[in-house]
Amino acid sequence: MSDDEQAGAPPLDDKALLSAHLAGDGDAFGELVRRHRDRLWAVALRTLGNPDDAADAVQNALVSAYRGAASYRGDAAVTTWLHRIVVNACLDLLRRQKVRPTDPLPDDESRHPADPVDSIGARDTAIVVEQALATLPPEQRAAIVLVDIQGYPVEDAARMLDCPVGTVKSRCSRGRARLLPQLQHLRNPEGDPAVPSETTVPAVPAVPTDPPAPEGGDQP
Amino acid sequence: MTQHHDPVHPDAGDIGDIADIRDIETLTANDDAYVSALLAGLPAVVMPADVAARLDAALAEAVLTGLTNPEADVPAAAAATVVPITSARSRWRDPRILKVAAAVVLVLGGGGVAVKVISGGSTGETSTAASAGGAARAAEKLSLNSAHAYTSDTLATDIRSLVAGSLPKAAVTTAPQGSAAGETPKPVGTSPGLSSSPGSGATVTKQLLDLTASVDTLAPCIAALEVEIAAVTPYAIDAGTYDGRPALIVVLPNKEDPKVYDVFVVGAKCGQGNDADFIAYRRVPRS
Repeated sequence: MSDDEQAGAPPLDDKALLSAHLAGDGDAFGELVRRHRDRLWAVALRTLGNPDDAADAVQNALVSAYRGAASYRGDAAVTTWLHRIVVNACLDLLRRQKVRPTDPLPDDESRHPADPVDSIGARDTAIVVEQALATLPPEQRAAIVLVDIQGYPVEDAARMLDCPVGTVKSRCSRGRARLLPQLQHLRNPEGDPAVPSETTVPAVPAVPTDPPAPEGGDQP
Repeated sequence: MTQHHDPVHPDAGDIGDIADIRDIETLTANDDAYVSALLAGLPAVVMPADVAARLDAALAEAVLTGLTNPEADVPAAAAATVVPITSARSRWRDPRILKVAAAVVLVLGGGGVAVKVISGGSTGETSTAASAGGAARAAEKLSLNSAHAYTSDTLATDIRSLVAGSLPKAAVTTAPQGSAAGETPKPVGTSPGLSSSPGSGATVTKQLLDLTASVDTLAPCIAALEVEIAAVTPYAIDAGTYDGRPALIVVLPNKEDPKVYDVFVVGAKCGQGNDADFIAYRRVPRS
């Protein structure tokens, strides 16, 4: 890290950090990773459905990004580039595991809300949704993770998935259609068809659980 | 009920409409919003401390192993997971990729159109099918081009009528190339296979007619739909409008459920740049 930054100068944006890394700053890439690792982790975990696989995928992807940083050409945001590498690592892993369906995420207490008021219903819903998500084909799952769960614009997701915008929309729509039969019962857990459930569907527009952070002005 | 639904970003109205859902045929316009809301409601996750520590150690090791110069050669194993933007984009131009993308065969005959997706196939097979069909015959057979005004609310009924052959063929005008949804099309007389009735408002744009003109133009569109079945025969293909927007309707079998149709609604640019020009996807019960 530069002396200026240590002295309280504004933090470098992502592209500046990557440039610093390429210039030999031994801490710059680590800072970049720390800045984005939670979102990258979330993408890997939701896509792979398994913490061990997600840890492997994120580590392999980011070490590869570290080594291949010179290939970044600056025509997309750094975080888009990092996401693309992580998503590719996840999809590669899933394709290699094709014969083995993704395991649903284990019921890890740390992944669920701590608020005791809504914890039971929300946790049950989350488990069902995660189990359903694990049944999707990898490409549809990755698109849904990026757009619906992580809240990225379709255009950004298309860059991350290296496919056209229309393909992302199509994958999301088809994925949701696949999920619907598995999630339909959550609309009305009491079984009364005349009473739509209000406990499992947010009463406000969907808000990403982990919204993308601004990147310090290095958007494409 | 919401009329114009963005399947990717549901708004507050979409979510609110979920409570009004009563039967399966009206579910379709709100299913995306319902599932999206559930997905968006998943709790946030953060990287566990042990994974973060392991990651830090791996990056530190990368420094210690002499890879402090980021421009150093990337080991083959690592390179397999690195897809930099520039090289990834070039993959689309890779002739091998294009060959697979083009390996969608539409075969005419028996009043229907057979679509065969051949993984790793050759463009030669596509060409053979195309020449066997012929553009003139394709224009007659590939798409109904009814100019029907499909809507999200009535799609299920319309699709069943389309497949049954009972969809009333709308009086048609042909909109000029590039006309946008909502613009008044200019009547140009009767196109081959189409009727014309000024003032009807029914539209088939020239772009859609071009798209459905031959197997060569339609095959890339079908490929862009990422059909998951090795060989499928569309139940129907029709050009018209969807919620007022020029659209091509493609009705395919569903891979998992024989009781439903997979319905793709795409725009006239479907197939260009490997993009489906996606508008909507619905599963429609066959009965």
